[in-house]
Amino acid sequence: MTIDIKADGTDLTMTLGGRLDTTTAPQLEAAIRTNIAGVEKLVFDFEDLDYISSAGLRVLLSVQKIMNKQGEMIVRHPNESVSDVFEVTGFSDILTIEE
Amino acid sequence: MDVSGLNVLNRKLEVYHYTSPEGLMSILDEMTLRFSDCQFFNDTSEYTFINTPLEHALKRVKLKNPDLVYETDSWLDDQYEYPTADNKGMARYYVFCMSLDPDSLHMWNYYVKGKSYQGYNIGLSSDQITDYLGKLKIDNLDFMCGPVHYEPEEQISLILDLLEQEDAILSLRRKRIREKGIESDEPFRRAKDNIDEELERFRLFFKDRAFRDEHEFRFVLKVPVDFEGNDLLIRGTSVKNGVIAPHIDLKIKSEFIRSVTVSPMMDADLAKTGVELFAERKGYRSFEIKKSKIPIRY
Repeated sequence: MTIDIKADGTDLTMTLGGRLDTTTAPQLEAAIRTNIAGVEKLVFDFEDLDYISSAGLRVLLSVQKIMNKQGEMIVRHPNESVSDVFEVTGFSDILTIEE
Repeated sequence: MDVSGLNVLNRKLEVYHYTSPEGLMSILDEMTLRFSDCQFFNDTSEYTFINTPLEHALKRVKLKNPDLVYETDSWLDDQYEYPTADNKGMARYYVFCMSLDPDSLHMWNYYVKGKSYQGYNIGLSSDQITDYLGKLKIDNLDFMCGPVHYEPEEQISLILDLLEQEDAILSLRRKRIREKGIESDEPFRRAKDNIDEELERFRLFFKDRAFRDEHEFRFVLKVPVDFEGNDLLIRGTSVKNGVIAPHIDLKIKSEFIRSVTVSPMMDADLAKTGVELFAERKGYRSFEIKKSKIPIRY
């Protein structure tokens, strides 16, 4: 999985590519731990994310809980595969998603 | 799927590589971590261990699309060269093993010679290495990491989660296609490809429960077979139990090393001094050198 990170003041954009699953979720967790302090708007750009598993959803949920306290979190540009996962798991009702 | 109550962001940041005195000196001297080809693991059955939880999961699972389960023959494949995601070539997996336990008698026991312990562990920053590996922009090179799963129920549960998720999505996509009056096996192929890919990844992180005291954490590199190496990832071969085995050495930065711990041994103070002198000579400044706290009785 690739993670490109761009910070702009209190805004943080993480662009993910590849597969977010049990074996790559720790990579995203590490990136979050390193960069989340002081962030008020967190954007995940999923345009190049091919797949997300339940382990990836768990990370999103944990980050959502943090961002509920310190600002907002937006998931942008999920492709059809990822959108389908959000739909069948009910995450489309939990997350703020921008197509 | 249970996604509540797991604060996955609070994991430990330090992981520990247990090694021999020669291994420690080599890492500090060369500032490299050696990733072993998964076909050459000490336990050669490790790569195919997943068959056990997979068979249990397949007996237990109830899918709306039972044709997914009929494809099990290919899921139990044990090839060591695996197609890269874009089908441009084949890749092999290289693994670097660590433990989440900073002072494990179980792990020290692998480094007993005669009647004395002769091991060391190197404490490494998991986050820094993860960040570093994630930034290596090499075509078709993939990086994975995480704890090894030992508990059969946990392994089965991960496989069931995967199968049930793909089953639900397959149903959704088939319904859409039916509504459009189209016939296509694409939804099935996509589900099968995802299951194949995820099982291939799981197998590198599943081990028999007998090894649970190792509390292993792994970094895994999926490397195209035609990758020739570069300044940071150096291809090489070494002799392991009489077998010529391929490996990849990853160049690291000195700040990734947080500590060195000396195993319980008769001359722990002397061993600690030896590490201090070696580290000082090699220019290391930042890591702590500790002695094991395990009281060994003879």
